[in-house]
Amino acid sequence: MKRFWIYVSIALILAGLVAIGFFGGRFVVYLSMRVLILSIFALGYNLLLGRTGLLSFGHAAFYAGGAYGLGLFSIHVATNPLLGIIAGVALACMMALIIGFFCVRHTEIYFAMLTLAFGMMVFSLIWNLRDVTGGDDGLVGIVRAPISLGIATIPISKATHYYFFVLFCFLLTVALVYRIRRSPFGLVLAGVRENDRRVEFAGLSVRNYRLAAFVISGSFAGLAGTLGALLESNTNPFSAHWSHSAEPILVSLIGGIQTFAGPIVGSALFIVLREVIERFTQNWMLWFGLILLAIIMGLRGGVVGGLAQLFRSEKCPAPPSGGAR
Amino acid sequence: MLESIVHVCLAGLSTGMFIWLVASGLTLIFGVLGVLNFAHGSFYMLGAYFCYTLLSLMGDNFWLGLLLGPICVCVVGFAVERYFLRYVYHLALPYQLLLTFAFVLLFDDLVKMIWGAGSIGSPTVPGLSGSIPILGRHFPVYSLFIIGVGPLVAIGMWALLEKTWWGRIIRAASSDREMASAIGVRVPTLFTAVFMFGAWLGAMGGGLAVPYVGLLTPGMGESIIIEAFVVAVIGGLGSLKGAFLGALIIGLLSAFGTRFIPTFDMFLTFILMAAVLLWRPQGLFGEAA
Amino acid sequence: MNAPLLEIRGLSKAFGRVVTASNINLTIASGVLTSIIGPNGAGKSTLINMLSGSLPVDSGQILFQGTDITRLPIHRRVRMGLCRSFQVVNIFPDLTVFDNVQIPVLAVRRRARRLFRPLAREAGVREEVSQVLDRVGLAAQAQTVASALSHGDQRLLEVGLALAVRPRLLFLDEPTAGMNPVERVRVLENIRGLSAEGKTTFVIVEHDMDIVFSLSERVIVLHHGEIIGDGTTREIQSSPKVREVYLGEEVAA
Repeated sequence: MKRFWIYVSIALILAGLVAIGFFGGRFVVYLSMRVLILSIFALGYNLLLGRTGLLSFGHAAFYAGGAYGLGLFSIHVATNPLLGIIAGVALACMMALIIGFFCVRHTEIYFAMLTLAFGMMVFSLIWNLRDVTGGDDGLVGIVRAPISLGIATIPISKATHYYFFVLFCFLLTVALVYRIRRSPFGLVLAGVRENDRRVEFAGLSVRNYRLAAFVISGSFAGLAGTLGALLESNTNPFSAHWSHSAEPILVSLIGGIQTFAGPIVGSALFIVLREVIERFTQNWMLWFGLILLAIIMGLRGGVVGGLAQLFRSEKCPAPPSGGAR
Repeated sequence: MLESIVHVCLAGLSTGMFIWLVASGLTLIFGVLGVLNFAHGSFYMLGAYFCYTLLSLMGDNFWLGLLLGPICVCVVGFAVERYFLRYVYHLALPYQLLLTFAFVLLFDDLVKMIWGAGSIGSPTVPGLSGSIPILGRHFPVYSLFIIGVGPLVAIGMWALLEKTWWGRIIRAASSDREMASAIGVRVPTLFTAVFMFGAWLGAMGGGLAVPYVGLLTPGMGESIIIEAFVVAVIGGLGSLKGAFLGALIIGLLSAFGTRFIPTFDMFLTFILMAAVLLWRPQGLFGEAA
Repeated sequence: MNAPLLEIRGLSKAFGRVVTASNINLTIASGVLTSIIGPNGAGKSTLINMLSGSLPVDSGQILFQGTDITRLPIHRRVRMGLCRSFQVVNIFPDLTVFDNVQIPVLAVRRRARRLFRPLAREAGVREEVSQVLDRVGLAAQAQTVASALSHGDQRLLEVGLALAVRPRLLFLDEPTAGMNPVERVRVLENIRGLSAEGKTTFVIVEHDMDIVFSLSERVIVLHHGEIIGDGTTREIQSSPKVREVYLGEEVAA
């Protein structure tokens, strides 16, 4: 019974997302793309935070890696966006591998501080290497050239066209993250979060699993960064700042850290609410601070978790075993 | 050349002592409560704004403002710990950090709402304004004052923790919460008191910053909190001695960096932080994990 | 099999001035159910920790089936077939009982690295998990969240997790502590049965002398980090040295 309603909601949401592309006004389309991109960032990030239990304050560095990777590739090599995205994600992945190698040797607060340090190192590099990165101006003039697939060329320079490309990447991310969560690897990650010692005694290297989660989430951050750079046609050094790292944490918490859809719902709420609040008052931070307080003090499951609780109180059969949530 | 180096050293010392003043509260709170308080930068900011307002209300009396401002922030600290933080000690680290982060958001906007989003000019303190010549070049008197206050605070805290009954209880509770509770220490009350004291220290830093930083802005908390984190980590999370020495190191490093290799001093600071975390996570002066 | 299952040469460990292991030499042969006993503070836990890899040794060598494992990390030793269970229950609290056991089973069947294959498709794994659960008697609670289990059932899960990795040598650290008599009998019967099958050699750390003497073929007595007795249950029961140690000091029987 519950399954049926889940499928219906998914179908409705999908229809809505497609409709936005066809009928939405300029601003709505732009806002939706920002939601989708933040969702990609947060979905990947939550694999590390919610699933594996590691709090990283440096993932913005990988977002920036994707953005600047694509930007530099686009400006100096070729404007083909697909290649640019691959370049950006590859750079983010490599950065995550190197930084992660050092960071996963520690846990809890030391891990958090290490990721903060590395993230800010990346930020200061981007800020200071003006000749390469454009410093505080960022890279400008990134072109949304058409995607050439050999047999066909897909134009994406118009916002509405680009929207469908972003939507495609979002759906791809959703599918991949969903699969990862339900895989053996995903279950082991949950084990690492719950009791890493026990995972060692099952014969698995906890450090390697943490590193893998780190790199995977860093790669998704990079993907989000490439899409963001293409959206704005420029890069921004503050995308590497630790305050940007706080965004996926915030939206995952608001949506529900332990749920799959939490980061998506949280992203939508964060961006939309912020726009709404900013219409009436400059003080959106105040309201978000209050919302955050409310969630931490009371609704730790976040929005999705809270809704799930509501549904659970109606008698529904539990889903079959054999899969991680 | 010599006066150049001496001046850079003095600048480094005053920066370092300034950071120490802010980091002392952060370190105390982490050492006793085990919580890394993001909102400490906000206490600093609130301290600065309260002091500024109070001193303007009281005929530009800096010392009165410095006395009363941090006390107001203390009250805020009480509310934060007693009604919010206390209930999340048992939760995982992300929730604690995010709770304090929520307060950062709140306080930032509250300050904007009350004092406006722009920056406020800061007055000079009679008697401590101007500069005096050292080795031929002029150096601000207020910075010398800061260089003096830093060690005073350090000695004061050392005396408090090592020589008083209160200090003994704090040390006991921070090393073994359950044991302290078992022998009759009312740990929750103690934690509130320590948090208030930490907030007071942060606000003191803010108050002393009023003539020092030139301009007060709502974002001033954010920039200082990262430096305080770096210092606390390098010195050893929870170690006051470490924070003092760490602040000295960072202050001097920053001053020499700004003078001789201007572009990369931020990078250097964070590389030092990462290096300490990787090779000696207990900090330069902390106890072995 | 030429090399003995486990060989310990000159193992020593001290924490500051406290010597917890003093030049221990020991050989464990395959198939012999062994118990390690000793008063509190004798060094039993330290020994298990060193053998399983949680604690580094100060000096000495550990050879498992002829291979030097002294410096190997924990997960590599487990891969080779050396595992342990814990005295304090060490499970995955927010996962179901089924998922708890699924993790070690995935590991031992080398399926734990799969990123994109849904768990639901791993039929072989599901079957093996059910077998393990049947063995420890938790099949009915497969869908219960582990933290909701009774303490006794959590201890059963603990043993189940250790068995799930198909160990050749398994150290059980006080496996029946806190269990009621029914559960205790079940666990001991399980151990006896599995030991007879010959695939796993059990070494049990225990305080309960009834269990020790009824179950074991060999008993090792530790005291202040040294082995002061090693033989059949009859030999140990009649050893004057062992009696002195147990009668002369406080012991939690």
